[in-house]
Amino acid sequence: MPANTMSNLDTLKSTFVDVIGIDPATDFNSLVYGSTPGWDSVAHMALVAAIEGAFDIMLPTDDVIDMSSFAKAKEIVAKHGVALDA
Amino acid sequence: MLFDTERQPARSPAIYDAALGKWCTYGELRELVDRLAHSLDYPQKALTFCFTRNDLASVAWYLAAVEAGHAVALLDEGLTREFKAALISSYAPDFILTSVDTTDYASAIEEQPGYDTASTPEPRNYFWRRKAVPEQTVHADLSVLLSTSGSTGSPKFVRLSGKNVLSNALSISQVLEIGANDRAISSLPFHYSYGLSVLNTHLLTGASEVMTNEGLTSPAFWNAFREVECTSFAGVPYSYQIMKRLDVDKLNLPSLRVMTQAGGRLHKDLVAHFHQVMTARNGRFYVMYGQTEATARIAILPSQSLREKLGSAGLAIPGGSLAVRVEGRLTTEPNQAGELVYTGPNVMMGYANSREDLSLGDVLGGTLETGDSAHFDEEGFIFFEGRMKRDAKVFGLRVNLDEVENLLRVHGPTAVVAGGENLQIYCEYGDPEDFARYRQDLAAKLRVHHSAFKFHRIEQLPTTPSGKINYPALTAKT
Repeated sequence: MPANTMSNLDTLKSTFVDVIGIDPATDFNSLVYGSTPGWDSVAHMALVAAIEGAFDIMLPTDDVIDMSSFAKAKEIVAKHGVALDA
Repeated sequence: MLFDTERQPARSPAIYDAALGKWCTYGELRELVDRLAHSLDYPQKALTFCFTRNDLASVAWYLAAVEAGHAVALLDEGLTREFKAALISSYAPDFILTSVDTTDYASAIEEQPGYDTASTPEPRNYFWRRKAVPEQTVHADLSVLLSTSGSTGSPKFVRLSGKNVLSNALSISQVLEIGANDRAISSLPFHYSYGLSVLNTHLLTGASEVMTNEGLTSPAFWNAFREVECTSFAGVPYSYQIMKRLDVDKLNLPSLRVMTQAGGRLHKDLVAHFHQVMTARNGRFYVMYGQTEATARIAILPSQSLREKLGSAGLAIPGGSLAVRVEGRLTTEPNQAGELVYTGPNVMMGYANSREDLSLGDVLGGTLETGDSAHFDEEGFIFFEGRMKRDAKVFGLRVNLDEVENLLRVHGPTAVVAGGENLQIYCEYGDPEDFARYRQDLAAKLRVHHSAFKFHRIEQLPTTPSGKINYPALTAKT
């Protein structure tokens, strides 16, 4: 499916699904770095790279470290000008 | 063994437990270790299993087992329940020590006959004691057992004597110039030889270490680093890839003075980058080489030689010597490639594959065939050519390719080779759905990110004329 037929929120979710290897039906708001199985430092760096690629943004050091949950990732992505629907 | 009142004044800081936000001084640490060592009273030299996390209680258990004169196997607390149970049943340790009160242990241990839960007055030190004293003996020199591959729960251990551990810690602290004002942070687990060497060198010199289980991509790690002003950072190649992305200068770490790297070859560009970063802040960057079979460290590239010897792993540590074996003969002549052979007081006593092996003495006589191919330059600096053994580094973890194969062979004929940062897995069976399942299963068992496993369906695995799997042919495919 081409990216433009997906909402930005869906794109963010599918990035998490691909990188962390979670079930697409998961409760995304429960995803937390370090406690969600599969979201370790290796996955974290892969996630940062995938999010940067998907939205064509560049995250500074503070955002890379602060992105410790799905909710935080939404905040950070939005801060960089990506509109996320409700 | 690691305690020395002269270098460790009672009121000096020793260990900071980041999760508790609390310092433990050398005086407090010594008292804690003494109390714990008492609870390990045993009619003979015992085998202790210490399932560790990077916290004060685990460090105290490790030191207590050593001080009590027992042999201690340092294991990852994060191993799966199955791996823990298998290790316990094959070695029948006399004590099982941990800093985590979970039912995980209780259920793993309940499957083993003959363990009693015991208790200490300490709030975070838990242990179990075997009811019957075994007939097997533990060799008098044996002090520490380290797993040859931290993640797979392999029952193969490296046997280290007290002399191994002490001599290596002394050599390392001499070259890295570690002193009482240095402060490390546990960026690596301390059941891993490199992480353990960071702990041992800092204790031995009266320096201090922050123990944390947080990773490099967690804010809590860097908050702890800044709060208690750590001075040194240790990392494997993958840590430095992360550090490059995070950018040391943007992390705001004014106290950072020393960075060390080991655990595999770091790309030359990254070596040059971190040398420049550290030089600019008047600090030092060290590239090091070692193996668990040599306790930890074998060679270190002095920081001041780094620019001139870019790509080298340096010189043998004090007390040790290196040579290469060329056509059966050991030589130190320049520009001759061969298997690197190390001789020194830190070379292990040997391997152990079972409890019986723990009664063995030193079988190597101080000489280790490293399995790495290398050559010397005109000034005796070593440069690596490649690896001779069947193992690979994936995201900083050493993974034995044969073990991965064994985990998959239940499904059918499998061959695994290393390719870049990944394991290339060739199977004569399976479809993409099966592979996705195997990948998740391997990731969970080996605790390596699933992207490390690349599966390929193959009609027939290539074989050599003698009928063995032709690994070079598979490597050529990747």
